[in-house]
Amino acid sequence: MRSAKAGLWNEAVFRWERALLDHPSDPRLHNNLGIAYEHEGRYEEARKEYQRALDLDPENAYIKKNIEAFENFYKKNKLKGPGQDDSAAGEDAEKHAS
Amino acid sequence: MRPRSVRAVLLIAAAGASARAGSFEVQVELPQHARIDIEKEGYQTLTVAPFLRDAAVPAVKDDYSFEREATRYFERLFGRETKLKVVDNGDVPLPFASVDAMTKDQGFWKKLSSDAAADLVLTGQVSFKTSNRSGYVENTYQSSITGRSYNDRPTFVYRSGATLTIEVILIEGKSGEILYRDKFLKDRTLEGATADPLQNFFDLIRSLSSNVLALVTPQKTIATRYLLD
Repeated sequence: MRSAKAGLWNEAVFRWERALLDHPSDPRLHNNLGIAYEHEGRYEEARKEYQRALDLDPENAYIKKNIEAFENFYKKNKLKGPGQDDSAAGEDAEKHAS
Repeated sequence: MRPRSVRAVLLIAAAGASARAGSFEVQVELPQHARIDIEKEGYQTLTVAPFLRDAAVPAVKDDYSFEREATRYFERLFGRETKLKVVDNGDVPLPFASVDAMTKDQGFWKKLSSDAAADLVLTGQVSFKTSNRSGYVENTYQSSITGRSYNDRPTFVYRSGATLTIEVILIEGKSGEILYRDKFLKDRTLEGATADPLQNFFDLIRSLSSNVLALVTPQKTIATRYLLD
């Protein structure tokens, strides 16, 4: 958590990946790793982590907010991570931005 | 003893923090792809046609023309921040009363872009409104002895609001067809009853700049996410 707050997202990825080896069913770790992947441009991996976090804790409002915001942005911008093609991105464009 | 007003502020802040216990808001920078690949398509010049004022929104002040300010602002912005050369169109008046009418007259846009020697035309509609958001605000404070929260008398707070909605339309000059159309909205509330409308307008249009520039050039945007502890 400290690494991410300090903007050290690479280190945060490393730490959360390690933590998940010991606690694979912790929705907080999956959520945080999703954010870190998103920051690093690893969008497909981010989506999987957010989805796993939501599966583990479906009522968590923050996880819901994160995954909704991610999906909206992802679809609108048709983002491509390293080695991903256009077919991996969403199809619909969000109508309004703020 | 510390004045109650100061304590109230501190405790409200603490209450806000506890309401979000276990979560931390972080800002992540994300890439925003250009909607139109101008290099691939070979577009080199752009002209900014006048923007329409949303007729459904009453004028904020008679002597301000926010649609004209928006046109000038986008001319400068696209000239400075994109690879496109911004060309003048002689301030051609728009013969349209609505955005829908604008989008149907391909002949008008073909002629305008031909006269201005522009590959692309940027136009749209501006809607800017201000409002009085003053009102009574509940104050809560927490007893340092019992730890319980109490509601204090509501206080009257002067606030003003401003909302800017810009619909942008990017038109291909040679065909007169719409390449992209989108609507962007920004709203803010300021303390004080008399916020300057012009300053509000420019603050809001600046904050929308990256969205509009993303029509033709990649941008970075800041998004909010929540880490969980």
